[in-house]
Amino acid sequence: MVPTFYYVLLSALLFCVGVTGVLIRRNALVVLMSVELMLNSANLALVAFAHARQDVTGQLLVFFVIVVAAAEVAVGLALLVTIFRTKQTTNIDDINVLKG
Amino acid sequence: MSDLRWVIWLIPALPLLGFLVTVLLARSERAAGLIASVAVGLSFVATIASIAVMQSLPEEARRLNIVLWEWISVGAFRVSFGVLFDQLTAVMALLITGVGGLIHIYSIGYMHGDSRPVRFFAYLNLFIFAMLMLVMADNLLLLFLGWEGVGLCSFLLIGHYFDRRSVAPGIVPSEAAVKAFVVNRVGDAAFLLAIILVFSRLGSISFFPNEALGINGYLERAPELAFTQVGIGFLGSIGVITAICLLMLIGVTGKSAQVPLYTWLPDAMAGPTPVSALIHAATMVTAGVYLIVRNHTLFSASPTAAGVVVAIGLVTAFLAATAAITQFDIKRVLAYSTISQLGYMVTAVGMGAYAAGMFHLLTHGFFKALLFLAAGAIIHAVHETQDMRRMGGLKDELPTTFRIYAIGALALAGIFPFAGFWSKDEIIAHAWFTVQNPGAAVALIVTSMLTAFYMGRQVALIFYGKRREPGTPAHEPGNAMRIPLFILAAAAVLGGLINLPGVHWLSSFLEPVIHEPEVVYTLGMGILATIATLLSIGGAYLGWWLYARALAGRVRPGRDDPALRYLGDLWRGAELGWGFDWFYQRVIVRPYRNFSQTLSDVFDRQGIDGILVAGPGRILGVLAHGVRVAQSGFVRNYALAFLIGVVVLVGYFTLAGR
Amino acid sequence: MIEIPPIDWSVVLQLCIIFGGATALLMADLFIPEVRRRVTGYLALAVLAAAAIAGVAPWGCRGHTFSGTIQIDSFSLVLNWIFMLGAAITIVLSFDYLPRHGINRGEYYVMILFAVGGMMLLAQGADLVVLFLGLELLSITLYALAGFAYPRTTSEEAAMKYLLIGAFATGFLVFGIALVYGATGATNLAQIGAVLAEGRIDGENRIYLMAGAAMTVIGLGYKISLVPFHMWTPDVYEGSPTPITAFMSVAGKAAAFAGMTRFLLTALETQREIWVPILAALAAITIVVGNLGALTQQNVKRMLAYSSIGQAGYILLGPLAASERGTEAMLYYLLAYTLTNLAAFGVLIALEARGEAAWNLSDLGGLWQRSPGLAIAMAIAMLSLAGVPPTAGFVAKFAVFTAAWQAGQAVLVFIGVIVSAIAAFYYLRVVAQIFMSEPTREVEISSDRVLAFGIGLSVIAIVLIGVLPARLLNLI
Repeated sequence: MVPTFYYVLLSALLFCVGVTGVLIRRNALVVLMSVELMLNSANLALVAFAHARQDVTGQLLVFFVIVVAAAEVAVGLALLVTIFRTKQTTNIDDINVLKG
Repeated sequence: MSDLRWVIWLIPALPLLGFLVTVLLARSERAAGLIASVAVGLSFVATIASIAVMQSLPEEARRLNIVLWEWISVGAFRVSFGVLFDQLTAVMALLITGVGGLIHIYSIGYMHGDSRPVRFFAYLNLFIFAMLMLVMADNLLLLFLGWEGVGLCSFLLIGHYFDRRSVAPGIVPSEAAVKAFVVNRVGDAAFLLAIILVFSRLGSISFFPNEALGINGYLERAPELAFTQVGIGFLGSIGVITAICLLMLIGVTGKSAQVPLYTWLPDAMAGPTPVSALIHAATMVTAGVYLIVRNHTLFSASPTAAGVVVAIGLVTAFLAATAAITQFDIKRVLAYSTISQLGYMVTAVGMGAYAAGMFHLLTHGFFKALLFLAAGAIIHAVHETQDMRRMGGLKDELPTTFRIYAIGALALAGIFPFAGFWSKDEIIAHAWFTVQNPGAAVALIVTSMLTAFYMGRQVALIFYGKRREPGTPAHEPGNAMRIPLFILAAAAVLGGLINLPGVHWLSSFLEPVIHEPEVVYTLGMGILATIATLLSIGGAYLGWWLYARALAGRVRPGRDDPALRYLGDLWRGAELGWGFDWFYQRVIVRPYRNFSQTLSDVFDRQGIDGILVAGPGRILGVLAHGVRVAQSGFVRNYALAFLIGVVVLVGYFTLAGR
Repeated sequence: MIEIPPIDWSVVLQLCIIFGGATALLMADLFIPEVRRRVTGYLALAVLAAAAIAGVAPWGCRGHTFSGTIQIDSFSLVLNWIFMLGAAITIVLSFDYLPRHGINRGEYYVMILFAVGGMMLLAQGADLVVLFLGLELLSITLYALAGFAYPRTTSEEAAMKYLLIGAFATGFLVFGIALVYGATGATNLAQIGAVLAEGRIDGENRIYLMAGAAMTVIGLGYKISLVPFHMWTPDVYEGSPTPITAFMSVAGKAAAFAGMTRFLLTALETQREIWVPILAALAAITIVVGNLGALTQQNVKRMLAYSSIGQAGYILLGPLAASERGTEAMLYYLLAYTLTNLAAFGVLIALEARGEAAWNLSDLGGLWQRSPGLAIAMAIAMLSLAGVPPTAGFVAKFAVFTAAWQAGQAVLVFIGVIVSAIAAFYYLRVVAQIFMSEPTREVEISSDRVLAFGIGLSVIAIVLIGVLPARLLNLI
């Protein structure tokens, strides 16, 4: 059996990939995908812990996370569409009217 | 008579009512002035009635405390919303409602034709209410409420002439108002810390115990903690009482305009003159002195703190007196003079001369209010001019005002037998004989000499010589302004009676609160008083002579003080045989003038103003700019800052939690 | 056959009313014509009122249900009332605002109700899963509300920034919860606390626990604008429709504080010596940065955004005291802050009568001559924010300061008091502008009765609970 630690390590790595994606990508769509990656890496960790402890709570939480992530993306994509309509861009560096 | 105790509630309630009625009902200038004046007048009557009620009680019961409701009550932390009326409060309330009432009446005349009279009188009444709350509070938190309240009213009133772009050169009223409030807030912050410290160490913030509510009083517990220490970080530790007193003292330096937080007061002269008289001379600025007297058990228990109080008072008294000499704005002279006199009072209470300090507070309230109101009459008479270089020769045009002003000036200069002589002398005598601190006594005498000098100079500049800027003839004030002036002039002449040596009406009245031993008079005191007075007379004469005779011709509008530029005329002066004149100028006046000019330059403009107000202001401005530059608008930068926070927090948690 | 555990409905009654009411309102709104859109708002107010009344009966009780994931106690009841009060005043402030800005759509009120539901989940949650759910429900509705004024670009931008940073923070929150779960085997706050109290956690589990706790704190901390997770705040607050800015600055913040307090004081109670110093440091930085940012702002709406960051730092002193006194102080502060900020933003809404931004400092010039009522309201709100007695803001600051002082946070109190003195500068500048200057340009002022009522109510409450806080503090 694979030790839980490896799963956690993998999920931490995926999480870092997601964080890096948020920091360096300019396309809002890709940023949202990176956030998805962060959430799903947490899901991986949750499932691994649940498996190790033979406990259902962790797996339950995964469903909540998936639902919430879907809702978040739905709102995010809707916003993206309206912004694309007014600004003709999905580059998040172009939305910086508010500052100071 | 005990059923008449409710009357003390009327004292603060009437001005509050007056405020509300003025705001809600008054539409005309006349109505506003009348309502406001009547409210304060009735409050004065209520004060006298309260004193009568109090005096009719047996001696040990002469501290009335009425609690309206419990303000805050969380576990052990209980604060009542109640008024306290004892002898100390009575004296303060008399001053506030008495002088306040006169200034209200004066304002009816002075503010005639103002564009916002209703607002003005409403604020004045609100101020009287807040000030009464300050002196009648039965606990520190309620006192703080009044403390902030008077600051707020001061803020609102300083900015009254906002539409006159600049009342005095370089001062914008609304900026002066904000400056006054913010500088005061710095002191208030320390005061708030003192309150928290009092509560956490002494278990209560009520001055005296209240059996009905089961609240302890903290004042009587102070001696228990005389040797307890409190840590102040890497600086080691300090006595609890000392810490409390020092924090309170910072609050006092803000409200009572002491070094180093005094800089707001000269600018506060941008407000209408009655406001300067009421708030920035007679009442609000004395709140700090009241605070120290109220907490005298704490200050007596900490010699260190008391020493700092004396030092601050002395430095303030001296520096402000030197600065007053170099001013040309009639109100700024009086403002610096107020700071200097407040330094006197602070010195007195720091030395433990509480009765003398209160005595000076009262007499100063009379004659400084008088001087400000008379100055207001002059300013009106010469059509809103405040520059003394543009006046001169008003003695003949304004004979009544001249006499009144002279009375005020003599009282301030401490000349026998005017009010200022008695109170000032008691402080000097206390310094020399009771606490045996000749250094302080000499400093006080020198200051009083300077005081006499600048008052002599001011009287000379305003009233003597020829009118330097001919214009329409000046006119005497109307009745509404004249009657309060006469009453205050009488008080300035006779004010010394309330605490004459031997009679000591004030001291014995205050004795139950401040427990001060009776002063025994000796011949030495008489000699000291004579010397001090002779020096003051000399100073006053010198000031008058220089500016009314010797240098009078060289005072011109828009030009420097002739004494400052005297160097160029040195030769001619010697040729003409002005030996004495030359000597005075060369040896006393000029170096002294340069010295005082330097001091006032350094401390007023660059130094303390610069370091404490502009300096941090500039640093804060730079920091604020930094915060706003970091807010770049790029969401990825925000995420980066976020990530840095994450790294710090996760790193700290995992390392600390191992 | 699965055994369904019995459900104590009284615990979730308020939640049921809010969610049921919101869903019903969504349907009902379809049948309400646009000219009568206010009816939707009044119905939403009715739902809030019903839920508020439902909180009276269980007063003083403690209980939990759904396998101990949702609980009810006086803490949550007081917070629920604060949320509902905030939401109700927000709705009142919106009546005039929405049509003027051409965004008079019924789902606005529905989403506010759903947000309140999310807040209540945060206050009543006894389980990390519920806290997560509540936070996300709150956040997602707020993203949509922030962008409600589309196609106005600032509104869209605010929503997008909020969403991106919010989703980023959610990632940390979920990963944190996963790690805490991995270390303790529990998501229930009380169970986590119990496991930690036994002290059986070591090795890699210890690292999971600590990293997880830190990430959970971050996930909640971004919502209360803790520096350095605060940077979304000024932009989002400025861009969002003003009533929504008011709503998220008060109710959203209160909800996040509720979750934060629950997590810190129930689950991490035994780890106090670890989280207190670092959070104290963050509170100090938050106070300083927030107030510095506000210091030189000419834009009052943005100034209030920075000020809300600073205020969050002060509120954090309450949970940091980790005492009953501290929690009480926090609740009082939240209530005072809710009323104060709503009044301040209410005045800004009244100034936006033309449907364009009128929140420059100079737009407030001479407000006293133009509208004395609004001038007094704004002045009292500013004084309350600056902590000047006798307003609620003063009692609130004093309460958190004493609580923190008694918990040994003297340095923090010192910093807080000094900064609050400096902060007086920018609050008072607004008051000076109102009373001591002439109007610079003609700004139309809304004369809507309902709006005036909402502002007036808040202002009276500010003074009232400032003068008579004893009863209230006892209640809490």
